Amino acid sequence: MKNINRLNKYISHKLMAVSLLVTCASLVACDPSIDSLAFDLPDANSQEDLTPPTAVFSASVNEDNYLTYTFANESTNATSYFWDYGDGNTFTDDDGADGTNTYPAEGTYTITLTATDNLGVLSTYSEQIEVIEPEIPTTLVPEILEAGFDNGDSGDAPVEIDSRDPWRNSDLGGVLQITSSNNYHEGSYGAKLPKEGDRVGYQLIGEFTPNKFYKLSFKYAFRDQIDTENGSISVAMVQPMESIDELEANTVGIITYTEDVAGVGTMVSGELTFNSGGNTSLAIFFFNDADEAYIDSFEIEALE
Amino acid sequence: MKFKKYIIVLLIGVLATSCNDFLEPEPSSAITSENYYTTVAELETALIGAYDAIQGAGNYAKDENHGVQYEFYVTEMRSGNTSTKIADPDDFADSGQFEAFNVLPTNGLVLNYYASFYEVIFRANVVLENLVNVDDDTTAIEAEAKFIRAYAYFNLVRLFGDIPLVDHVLSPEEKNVQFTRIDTELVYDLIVSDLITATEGLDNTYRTRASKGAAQGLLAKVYLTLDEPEYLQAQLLCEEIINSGVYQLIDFNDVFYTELDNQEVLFSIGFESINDSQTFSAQWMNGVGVSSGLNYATYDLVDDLNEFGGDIRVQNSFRQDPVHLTSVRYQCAKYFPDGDNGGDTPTPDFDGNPELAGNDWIVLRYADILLLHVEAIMADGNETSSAAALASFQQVRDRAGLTDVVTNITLDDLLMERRVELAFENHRLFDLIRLGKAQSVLSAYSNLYGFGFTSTDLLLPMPQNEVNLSDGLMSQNPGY
Repeated sequence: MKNINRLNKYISHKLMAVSLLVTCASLVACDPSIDSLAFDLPDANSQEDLTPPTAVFSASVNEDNYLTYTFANESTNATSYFWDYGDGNTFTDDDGADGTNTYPAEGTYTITLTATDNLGVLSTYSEQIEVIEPEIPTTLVPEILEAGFDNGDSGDAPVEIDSRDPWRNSDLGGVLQITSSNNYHEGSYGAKLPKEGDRVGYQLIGEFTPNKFYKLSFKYAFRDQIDTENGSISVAMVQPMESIDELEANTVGIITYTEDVAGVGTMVSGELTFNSGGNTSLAIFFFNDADEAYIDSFEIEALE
Repeated sequence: MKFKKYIIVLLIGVLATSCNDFLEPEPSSAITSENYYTTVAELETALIGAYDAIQGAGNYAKDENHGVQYEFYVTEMRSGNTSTKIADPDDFADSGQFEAFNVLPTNGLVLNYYASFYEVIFRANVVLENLVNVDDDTTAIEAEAKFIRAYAYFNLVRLFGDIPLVDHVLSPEEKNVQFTRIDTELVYDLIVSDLITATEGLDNTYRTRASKGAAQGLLAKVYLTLDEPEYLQAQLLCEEIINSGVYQLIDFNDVFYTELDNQEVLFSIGFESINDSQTFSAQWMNGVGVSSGLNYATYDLVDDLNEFGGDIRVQNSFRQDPVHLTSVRYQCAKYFPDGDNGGDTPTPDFDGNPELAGNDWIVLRYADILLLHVEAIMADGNETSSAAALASFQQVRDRAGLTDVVTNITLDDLLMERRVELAFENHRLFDLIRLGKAQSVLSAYSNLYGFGFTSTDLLLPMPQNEVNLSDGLMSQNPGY
């Protein structure tokens, strides 16, 4: 009996200890604030997705048709795609219908690309495009200073303005003269080139739009000072020149009128059509030969 | 003993000064790169070394750089113009991946091209870094080295997109420069500034080395390639070349088979038979070299040449492979090894060894410039009827025997003219991209033949080798 009591006592001691331990353990184990015990075991051989997909694309308008856009899928780490072109068209291939979509009309469209990897992780990217018919860029038309010589020279009113100034270039020839003789000008005054042929007009103008056609129009006349000679006047568009030797190389367009065809004593119309080529500025250059010539009323217009 | 003090002072003085040179002797029996370049002639040897890197090795060793000899893989064979003789649908071979637009980042040919052109850049940088060590006028040397560097970067940036921008000789610590990819815009800034220096410092002495005309032509093409193209600048450069009178179109066959004083060539990479030879001419033949046949014309290209090229270009651009009898395949006829096409019998019959061919590789020729002139004038429009553009376009067509008068040129006309004029010359891919037609044209081509083109295939993968070595510094291009 004594032994049994002893045994009981022993067991109850042990039980006490075990139950205390269990209580302690269960108290501790259930506390979710202990990180190491809150760990969730992964499935066999699984790894974290270190390369989630990123959806990106770029859009560019087609040169031939402003309604058509080309899309390039630049997403990374994705295996399947869903394109929503914002006009009801949706596609699931990489570039979405080979990356082109033609919109029904002008407007703002939101394109959304959803990229997914094989784990089902999604990435979405959206961009708005404004479909609008491009304006045809207007061709620049340069201004010609003192195009009608109507302020005369410094001897004419207004005396503070000399119409010849924008036309001077002493490297190429003497300065033109100003005339108010009847039948040899329009407006108040015109330009005169005496029969010696040693005076010129030169004015650098800009800005031109490259590779466009322009028309330079003007009025001119001859006065028959030398009977035996057939006078001429030439009007050229030239790249900037520093010497008359450069004339041939620098000429973009030139026209020459002669006394025998144009007649004498009245103003007639002349014009020079030229292409600006690779130039944004060009000079008007005019000169005469063998007889007295007059020129006036320059105008320039773009032909396209 | 009263001198003891002075002796100590003297000793200290001697000890403190005497060891200066003793520990840093100049080697008297060896030449190092730091002390070698002291004259213009010595710098010139370094320049020739840079050209040598562009040439590449005339063999097939995987661990040697093959320079421009491998360029056709990464350009022409990705453009719909050419393919392997027998398609490799599983893309087992590196060379078979290009035509199907399934290039892998591990592709050894891509790595070879990348490494080759960074070697070119390194050698050009060595020249530039040593300019200060030479007292004589080094303007021309600097211009030439910068031309070479710009040429290499222009190729790399168009093929890979953002790339490491190395503008000096790197020290071992500069790993970040070696592997950090820099925005294309900044790469183009360096290209443009290098080429401007080149146009100012060079004359037109050479055709197989940099020249003023070559620099102007390359710069014009760069201006047209920029995100926001400088059309007017490009036009003016083309017109300077045209007005210089140095270059002209010659007989179409002579363009490729006359190398001395070829009036059409602005810049080519020179090779010489046997001693300084190339292998690409052989590789494009049937079963010569390491492959059964590379850079064969696609039916797509042959159809366009037949329809739009005119007889002269048809006869001198390609021929039917006489050796391959199981199907009809076409070979490039512009670079037959030393002009020897191996005969027209079922057994190839070369006089010499075709793998030691000396054909130069033409980088820039006058017809290209004339068509770039048209492109610059067309600017961002779709067509042009400008007289200057028509004149340039007509010249190219007249030489090809197509003398009907052209009165209007559309963007598609221009692209087609470039295709049939410059076939096999590694321009097509860049032309398609530059003119904004790559995605539509290559998608249609790829769908027709069941290939895997997507928009990301317009850039090559960064070589996996480089990505691995970079420890995370170098990112991969999308789609790879």
